[in-house]
Amino acid sequence: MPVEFIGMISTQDQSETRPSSGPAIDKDYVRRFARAHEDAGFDRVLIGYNSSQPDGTQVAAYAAAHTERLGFLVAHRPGFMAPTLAARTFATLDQFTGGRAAVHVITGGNDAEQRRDGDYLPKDERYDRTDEYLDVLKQAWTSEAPFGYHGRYYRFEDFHADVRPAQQPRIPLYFGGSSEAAYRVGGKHADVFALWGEPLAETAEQIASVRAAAVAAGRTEPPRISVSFRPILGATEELAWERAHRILAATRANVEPFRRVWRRAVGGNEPQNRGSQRLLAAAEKGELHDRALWTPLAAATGAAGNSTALVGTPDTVAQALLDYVGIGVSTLLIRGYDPYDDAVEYGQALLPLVRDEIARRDALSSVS
Amino acid sequence: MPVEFLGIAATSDGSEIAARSGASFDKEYTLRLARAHEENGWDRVLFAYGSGSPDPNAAAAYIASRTSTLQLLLAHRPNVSYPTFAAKTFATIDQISDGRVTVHFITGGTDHEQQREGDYLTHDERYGRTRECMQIIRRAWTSHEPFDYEGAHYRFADFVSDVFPVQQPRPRLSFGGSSPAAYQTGGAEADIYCLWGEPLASTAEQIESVKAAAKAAGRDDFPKIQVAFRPIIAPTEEKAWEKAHDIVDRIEDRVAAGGGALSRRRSLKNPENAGSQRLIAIAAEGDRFDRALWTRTAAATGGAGNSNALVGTPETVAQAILDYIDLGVDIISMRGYDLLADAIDVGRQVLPLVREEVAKRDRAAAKAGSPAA
Repeated sequence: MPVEFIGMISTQDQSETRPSSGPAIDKDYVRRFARAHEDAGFDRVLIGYNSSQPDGTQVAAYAAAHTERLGFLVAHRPGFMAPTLAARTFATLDQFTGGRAAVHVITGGNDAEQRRDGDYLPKDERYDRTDEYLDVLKQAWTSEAPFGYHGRYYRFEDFHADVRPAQQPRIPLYFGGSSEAAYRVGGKHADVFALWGEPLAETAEQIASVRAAAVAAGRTEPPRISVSFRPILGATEELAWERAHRILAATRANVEPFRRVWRRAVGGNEPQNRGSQRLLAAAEKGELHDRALWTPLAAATGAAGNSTALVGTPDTVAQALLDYVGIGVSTLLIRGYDPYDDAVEYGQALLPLVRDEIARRDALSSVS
Repeated sequence: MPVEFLGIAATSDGSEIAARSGASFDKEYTLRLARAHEENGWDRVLFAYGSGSPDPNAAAAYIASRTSTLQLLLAHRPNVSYPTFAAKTFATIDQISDGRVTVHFITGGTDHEQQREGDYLTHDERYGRTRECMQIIRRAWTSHEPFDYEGAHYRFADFVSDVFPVQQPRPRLSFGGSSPAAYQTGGAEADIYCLWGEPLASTAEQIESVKAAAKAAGRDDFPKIQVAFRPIIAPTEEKAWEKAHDIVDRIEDRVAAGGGALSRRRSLKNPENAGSQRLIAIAAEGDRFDRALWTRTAAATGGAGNSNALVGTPETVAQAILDYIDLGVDIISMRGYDLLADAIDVGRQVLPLVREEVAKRDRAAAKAGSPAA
């Protein structure tokens, strides 16, 4: 089965290794960055979310107008929009982009960050609300007849959307989280469950948790699995590791300004979210795991988001990615520390290696 | 002072006289209609909002990337998203469109329509919420320091946006409504106050109510006033009136065929919103008012939205519009019953006449040494 590659675009040049530069929305950068991903062969790009950022749906619409094929994965936190409107927002985007929209549902892992947009629910209740929200979203995308909803968080009557997604039966739902509540809700609703890059053994555990939750929710087909990494490539192993250490030094040097920005996003150095706690635990166990997974960059930032690296030659990193495909992962979400240049480099050096090997294996298995 | 013209953005070709010819969502038509406005003299188009409609913001994003000067008026109901979230969305569109956004606050005039998206507040409570929402959005667009808010409807802590509008200090806030609660809210908060087209005398009354509310709120300026009509033009008066009667016949046929309604969304009887009640009361007083105002189209649709017509030759309709400008109206909103054809015809035949006359008056006023009233 072909693997899906997801990159990431932002509205200005930003990385843990240096202060952000340029205006908050640099249109020219967005256009070039999206095209770089399209040309590199990425299937989709993620557009992130936090309480201070530009609206990702708008960014996607703009990038879509300047690309032909690239898909968009728009991060979306339930709780700030009526789900009836969110359904129409994404359906409208899907129509205008010719079926290139997907939604990445993130429930929010930090109380202070949620309160910036007026959300005072405790975390487990947030996941219960997400559960209802996704019930509504799916029904709004597919229901032919008007319907009402009477839940704990949402109540409405006689709703009917005049606009449907271009994709049938509906827009794909990706879902992030690593807590029990996340497994439960994502296991029930997600088409793709997204994890941050942990060692193979821990990743396998998480996949099992997601699948168990899907079975408990009565699903016959579990969610597909996405894992995120920060690949650091070099022409030789030695050059790759030199580069990794340079990135680590720059990240450490820039950590205070980065944390100031990130605190706005996640509120503190002690992460409340399970995903960051898990990355820090992996870093605690050791710097290098499996073939090429390197954790010091996660440790350096307090595991602020996708922050574990895969370090090595394109061959090594491709092999490391294939190890994850081997345990049931079918989507790889990757971005670099020099985001624009790395997207180009991944397209030249990394994506073809992984795709060719998977095509070879698929051909073998169809023969045998 | 130059007059501004607002047209309509729509994602399909349906109107009161004909069901849409294709899907509810027609990408090509959406773009053609917007470009027809841009190329024929319109300043801005309205992206309307209903509980089932495509998202105005997502539609505007598409149009913004394919037009260059057309301004975007985004209808927004405060109940459907959190104000800080909405502020970021609007600021992002303003960035992407290079400063072409105005936000149009519609509070919602019908309980059942509000309940379709989970809003169970009463009419006057809704206006209280709109007022808070307008205040928050204005602050989110302009505050570079984190701020908190504690209101009757919204509470949040430590919000600051990274994204600010291109327009400085901020995009304008437009507002619609004709109830006392609406005058109070819009009079206090709006940059543009929007009315549906009524006879000159009752329009003057409404303008007075808005100004009184602005004064009561302690403002030292007044909102600009926008009035909306449905233009029906033809080369002769006679042909224009034939066209007008044909339009009403077609509306009445559709209403009869629909069992007394044009859509499942809206009953034509006993509207809850003051704006529609006013249009129905005016239609009961008479079919024709002033130079060219015709109320049969409003009567046939139960005063559903902007529905009073201006009927006549382009010259007559232009003169009728100038009568409203003399009352103190700054912005004219119009859409026809054939959205695309009328955007072109009215854009080419009516708008230049009005603009020329306004410019002539402005020049005369400047010459006389007095500022234009």
